[in-house]
Amino acid sequence: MAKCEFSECSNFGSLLRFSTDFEETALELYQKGVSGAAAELFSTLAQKHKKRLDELELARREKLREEILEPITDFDSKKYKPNLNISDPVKMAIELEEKMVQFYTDVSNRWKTIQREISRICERFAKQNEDFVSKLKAL
Amino acid sequence: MALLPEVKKNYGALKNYINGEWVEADADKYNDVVNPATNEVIAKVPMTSKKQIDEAVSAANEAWEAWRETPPVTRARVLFKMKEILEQNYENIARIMTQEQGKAIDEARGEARRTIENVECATSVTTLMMGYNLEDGAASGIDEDAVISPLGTFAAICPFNFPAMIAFWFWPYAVATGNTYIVKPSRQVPITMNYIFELIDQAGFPPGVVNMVNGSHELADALMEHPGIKGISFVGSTPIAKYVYENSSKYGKRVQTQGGAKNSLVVMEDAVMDKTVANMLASFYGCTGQRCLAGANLVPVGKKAYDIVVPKFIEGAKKIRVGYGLDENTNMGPVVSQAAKKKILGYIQKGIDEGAKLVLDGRGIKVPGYENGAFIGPTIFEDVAPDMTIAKEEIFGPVVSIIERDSFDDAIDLIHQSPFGNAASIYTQNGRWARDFRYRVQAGNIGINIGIVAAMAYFPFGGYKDSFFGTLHGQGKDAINFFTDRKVVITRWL
Repeated sequence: MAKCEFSECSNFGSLLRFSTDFEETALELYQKGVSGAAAELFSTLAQKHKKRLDELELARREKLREEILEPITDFDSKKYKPNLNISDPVKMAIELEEKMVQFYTDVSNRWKTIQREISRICERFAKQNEDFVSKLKAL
Repeated sequence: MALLPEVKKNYGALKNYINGEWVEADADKYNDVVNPATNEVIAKVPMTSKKQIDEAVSAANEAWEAWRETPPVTRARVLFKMKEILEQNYENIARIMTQEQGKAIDEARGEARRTIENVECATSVTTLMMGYNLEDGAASGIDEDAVISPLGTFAAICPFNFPAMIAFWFWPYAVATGNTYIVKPSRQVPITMNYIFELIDQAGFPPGVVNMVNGSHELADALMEHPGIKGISFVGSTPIAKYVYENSSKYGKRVQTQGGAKNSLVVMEDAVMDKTVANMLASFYGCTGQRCLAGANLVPVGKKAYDIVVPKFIEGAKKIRVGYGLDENTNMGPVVSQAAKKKILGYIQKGIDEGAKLVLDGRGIKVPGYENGAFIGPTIFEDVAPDMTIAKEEIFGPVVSIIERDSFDDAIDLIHQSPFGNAASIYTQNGRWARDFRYRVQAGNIGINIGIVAAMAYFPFGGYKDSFFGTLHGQGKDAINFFTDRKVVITRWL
């Protein structure tokens, strides 16, 4: 699985890194592809996560201000860390997407008073992840 | 977390950029450029001779006429190209800054963003530089126009704390308005600007329009005294800002010099404390306290505010992660050099000697793997009296003085006792206090529930009292006005 580390989050920059770790891991999984019924959905989700990754990178570059320097001391990133040892690709995808729903929802709330544009992105991502989970479970 | 890769381990001997070419420096001496986290030498910077300044000024002067005649819209196009190249190299710029200056990577990325924003703002020159006129303004049948014109060659003398951004408060506006320019980067952190000049070289400026020379204060003196230079922009400490202002003025130049600061962050009892503390931690310890907008004095008003904010602040400061800035989890990097560290440690000792209570001591901090780095941990003094050295002088490091005041008026009096007037902030939910604060406080940058009052590119970077010498500030319309003059034309057709 991807080189991503999902390490602890001690500032908003590392929160954003945690987000991109999620997106890169998902992208790699979906790009590997699968045969059978999930193939088309994996291809679509690869495109979606690529777009999201680009959006996060752009947000890192253009939307962050001095507030991101505020230290974060009460964010337990461990609870969002996905189990990357699931061999079935669809089950792995569901694990990732569900963890992302939880992560983006919480991060969106945290960003709300700091940077609303980032908060909105996370809120939108969480909703998308919910949709992805439904589609994966319907396979 | 793994470290982000450095752009290069070593950048070798740096050159100067004159007349659109990289040239070997005419220098007898090269200084070491040191990574403050590792204490390793990562480049050599030339102490360029005064003779080579003549070459740079001549090139800039010669380029001026053709550049001035280049339509503003065409000049703006070069800046659009510059923006694109900076965007492509955004991450490299940030990492080099961290490597040579020490700041945490997200701080460096923030600086890279603000650097680019100044280029974006300067591309609006076709609007910002428009003059004005009045038909029959002089008399019936006689029209009057005010034309805004460039002046010639300007120069910037830059500090160590923002290796990229500060030069960009000036030069994009100068060249957008038709002037030519010379940048002298800080000799402590020249690599970032040298890298940026590699990008400038690709942007399409005609030779001589933008130039860079590396060197020491002797080179700065040569710029101030040179008859071919129309004006000087400087950012640094107050004694040097004053010197640059006086010396450059003596030689008939336009001058704007930004000096030091001692910024107070006032906390009222009705502040939203958790968010206030988080924001203040970023203000006091961001860039390891090495910026003129950093908080220095924490001023709780009344016992209730004190009892809530101080324990939370100390607790928060203890959790700040100190390390190499290329680790994305680092909250605070080293100070810029071992010399800076020694100076800051001297201030801490002075605080102890003068009777302040050291409640958080950052002196002994060890960063595993970086034992030779110039690290100082978050440091806090309580029971600081306004007349103590640590309450008055600019420390430029991660040292906070807590000075309790009994009332809002006392807090404002404390701010006004300082010779500096760079920034001040208040944390409150009370509109009346907030309004009074912004109205009464004599400082160029005021924060209401914001601890780092960094003006965006399209606003001037303010400063009152001994924090600024001059009339027009850097950035935005002020910069446009600094780099131009108004020519009045009265026309009568016979």
